[in-house]
Amino acid sequence: MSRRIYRRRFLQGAGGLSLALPLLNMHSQRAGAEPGYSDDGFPLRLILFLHPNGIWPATWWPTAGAGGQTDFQLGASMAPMEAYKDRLTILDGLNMTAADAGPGEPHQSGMGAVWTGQPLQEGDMVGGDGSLAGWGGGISVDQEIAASIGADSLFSSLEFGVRASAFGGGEVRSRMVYSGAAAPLSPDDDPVSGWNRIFADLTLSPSEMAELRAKRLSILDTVDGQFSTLMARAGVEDRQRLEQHAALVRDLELRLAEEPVLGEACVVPGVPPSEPFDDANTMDRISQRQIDLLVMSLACDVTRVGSVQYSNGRNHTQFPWLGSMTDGHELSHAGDDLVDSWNEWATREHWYCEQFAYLMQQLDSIPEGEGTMLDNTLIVWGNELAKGNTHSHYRTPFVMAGSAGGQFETGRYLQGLDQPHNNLLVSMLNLFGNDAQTFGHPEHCTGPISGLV
Amino acid sequence: MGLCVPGCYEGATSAAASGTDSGASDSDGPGSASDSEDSSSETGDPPPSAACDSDEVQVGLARMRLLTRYEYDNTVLALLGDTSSPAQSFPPENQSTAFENNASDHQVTKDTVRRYLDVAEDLAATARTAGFQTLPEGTVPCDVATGDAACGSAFIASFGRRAFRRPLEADEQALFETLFTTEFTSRGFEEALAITLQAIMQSPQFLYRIEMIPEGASVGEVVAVTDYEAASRLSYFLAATTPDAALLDAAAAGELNTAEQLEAQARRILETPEARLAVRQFHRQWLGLSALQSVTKDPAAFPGLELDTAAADWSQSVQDFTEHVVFDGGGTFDDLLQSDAVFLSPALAEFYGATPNGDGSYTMPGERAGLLTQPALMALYAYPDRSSPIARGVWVRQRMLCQTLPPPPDDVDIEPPSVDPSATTREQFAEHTSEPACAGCHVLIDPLGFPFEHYDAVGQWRTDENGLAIDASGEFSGVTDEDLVGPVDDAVDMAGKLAQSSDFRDCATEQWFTFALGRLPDEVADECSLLQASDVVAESGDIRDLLVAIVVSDAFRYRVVDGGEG
Repeated sequence: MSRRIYRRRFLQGAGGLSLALPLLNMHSQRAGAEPGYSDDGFPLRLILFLHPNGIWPATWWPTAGAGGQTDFQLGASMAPMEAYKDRLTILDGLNMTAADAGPGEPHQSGMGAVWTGQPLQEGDMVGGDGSLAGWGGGISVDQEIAASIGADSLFSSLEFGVRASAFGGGEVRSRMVYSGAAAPLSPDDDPVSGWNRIFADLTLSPSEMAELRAKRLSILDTVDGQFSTLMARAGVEDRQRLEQHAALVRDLELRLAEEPVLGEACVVPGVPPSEPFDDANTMDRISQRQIDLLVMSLACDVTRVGSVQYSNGRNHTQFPWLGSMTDGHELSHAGDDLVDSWNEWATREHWYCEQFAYLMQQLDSIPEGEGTMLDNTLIVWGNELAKGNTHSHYRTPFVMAGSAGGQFETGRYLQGLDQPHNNLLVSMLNLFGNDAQTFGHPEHCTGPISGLV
Repeated sequence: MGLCVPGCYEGATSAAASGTDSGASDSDGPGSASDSEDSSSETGDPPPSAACDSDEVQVGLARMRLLTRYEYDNTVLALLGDTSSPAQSFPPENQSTAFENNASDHQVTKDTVRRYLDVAEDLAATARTAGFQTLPEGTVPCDVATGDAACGSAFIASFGRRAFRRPLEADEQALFETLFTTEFTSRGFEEALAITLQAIMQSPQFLYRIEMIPEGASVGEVVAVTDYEAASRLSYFLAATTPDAALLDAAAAGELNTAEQLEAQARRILETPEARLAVRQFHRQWLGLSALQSVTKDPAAFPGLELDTAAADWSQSVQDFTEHVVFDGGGTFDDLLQSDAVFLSPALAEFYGATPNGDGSYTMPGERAGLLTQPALMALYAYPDRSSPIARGVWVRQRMLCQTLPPPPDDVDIEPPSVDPSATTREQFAEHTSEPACAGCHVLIDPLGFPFEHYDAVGQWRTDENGLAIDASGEFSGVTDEDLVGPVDDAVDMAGKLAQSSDFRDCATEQWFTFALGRLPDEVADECSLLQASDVVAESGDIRDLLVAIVVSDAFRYRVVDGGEG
């Protein structure tokens, strides 16, 4: 259920409409280039995007021409992205070998590894087929990047979900973002809850906000003060938990301490309609709302790192608005000769590509310098599997959009990469000013993807 | 936990009498300490308690417990009279067991810490609007219009005791008084009260149930839980909420540590309305009912089913049934598995054509077998348009027998067969899983799913499919209780045999223990606690007796001082 909108009193008559922004500080760009910023001074942003259960190669992968990386035709599933073809970088031949190096079945291990580059820990979680596994084995790349480029944001990162917790809540198959080993972050599937958390404060006047800020800091300071005596008398593991909790309280304190400086394009959106969000019949609408919230969060510069997770490794979804009623997971297991099944699957891929195109379009509608926010963003689209009926992690589909501030040429189809997907994670770090040469499990990483940048 | 047996020909990994879902298999599972003591399945023999008769107390490691969403909501209801269920906006608990309260998995993130702040603001605003009149009696011992610093201190002490489930320590009292005094000076009494309330609600002593190392205790030492800790353990287990005044008073009087005292309090709590909520919570999680909200059904196949309300109604339906069995019906596991009453919303009753019995329950068309054939569960473990013998069989293996199954081989096509109106669902699936690569496991799964074939994808009774007769026969295999092994005629027969088996008894005991402790029972250290509780179930069969047996077990009454590994 959606959270009660406790600050509704500030929003009378504004339901569903965009709100005029109170007179807050706005900023546009930095004076000069520095890590995490484009050459012309705009903040760089990172977005992770994921849909589960692999892809159908025949309709997914582009057809390459003879003219090199830029000469290719999009597959049928990607037709909705045609207008943005020159902003895409399609990566063919990344293998999630780190996923296969630990326990768990491929849905579990793929979700755990896709952004962490780590095998799962040992554990007690029962997979779809009875395999036992624990949680992901390390921090995910977005959180690593958020620790630097998101250090001064109101939110270090924002995780959105579209039925990400469907069919059974928070277990390893439904979590992809990790703040550390065995520390998954839950995406928020409810746009109303997200709005409350992100935008409710922005509807306050500066003086109201200043008052609220002072109270919060006073409260959090007292909360922070509780931990030390408890830790002195707690067991070893409890003490570690308390330390982590105290660090989160202090982090929140720091982020709330300053008046946020909002992005120039910030328009606080109206409260999204409240309706069931874990429901096949609303999934289409919820998707658009979550993308809208994410884009406006970036435009308002309350965060620079976000993610959108569609469904999860269980993926027992139907797409009634497409007339596609087969259980998604079962559909992905169809034998290669079942044409009807794969046609149905492809209509869903087509829809995911529409969502991705919508995300690009919204980012592209916000001018920044000579280009748009899309140019200053890197979107990376992944999957927990390569193909549903083999459960393979070889040739896992990854697609990027934007160029993180023009740092590399887009409109390319990179074939035959044949390297661990951890290399992509390293490249991502490099694009955001972290010059690491390895990420995730080091045995499954040989450095950044050569030739990308 | 142990590893899966790497192939189904050896049988599923078995829930041994130790109550764990790993370890001893019925062939040659990895050696665990419990293997040699696995004899409780021989019904009629004396309990395998020889090793458990010694005075040495053993107990698995317990970590501090973060309030789950429903625990938080119930707690703020008790403390503030707040009915808004604010924690439903918290991120879902991460979980690796059936239960949301697992101490290892459920932990704070940046998002929960932020929501604690938002929700505390909401709660304080609501309480303030009500003049703080919704707080427990006596916690604001003055007129808020003329409150002073002394009243603030009294509030901190009395409300803090309720919120922290124990009296505040002097340094805690001082910290909150500092906050209160500062805010009182600058913002007045009511604002200071609201701000102090928010600080209390975000403090770790409120959010967690922390059991401190007693002074002078050494690492690895087994110590009795304190009276106040016992109050919290009891209350969150049996009432799903914070200790009431009676429990805190008993703790204050030092009357909450003997087995007799704990049993008396447990039986008192089991008479309260909150105990019904706790029993509902247990079953919602054990049975996987939360997933119902995600379920879709094919409107063309089931005209008249109100999908918008069915998911919530279905979940309530099963919870109503379990509450009825435990508190108003026969109260035994036998009743749970064999009582044929069904509780339905008016909309569902009309859809199913169920007949009201006059006492709030309904009789469904066709034969019913208690919990297992509840329409909601049949709907949950099914496809949008047809039954799923596999999902139902796996569910019985995992949740009713506490067994895990090994994975299917890679590179096999496991898409369900296309719908074929010339064959029954059973025939189609049987054909589909007969391949040698699949049959090894499916021989353990399908025969526990086929007995449900009289119930379609929304749990309606059917005698035929497209004019073809239903074959609901099945078979128990790969279980420890030899009396359970063998063919079953249908779901009703299956439920009756399950109810008599040690496999189900041990599994149900393990599930309740996992819920009570917020952790998987330790297969060695908690073995005696599990065996003794399972013996109680074998003797009385009464579910409330099991809950009391858990409360008086060593696993519940003691804890071990955590000094890390080794």
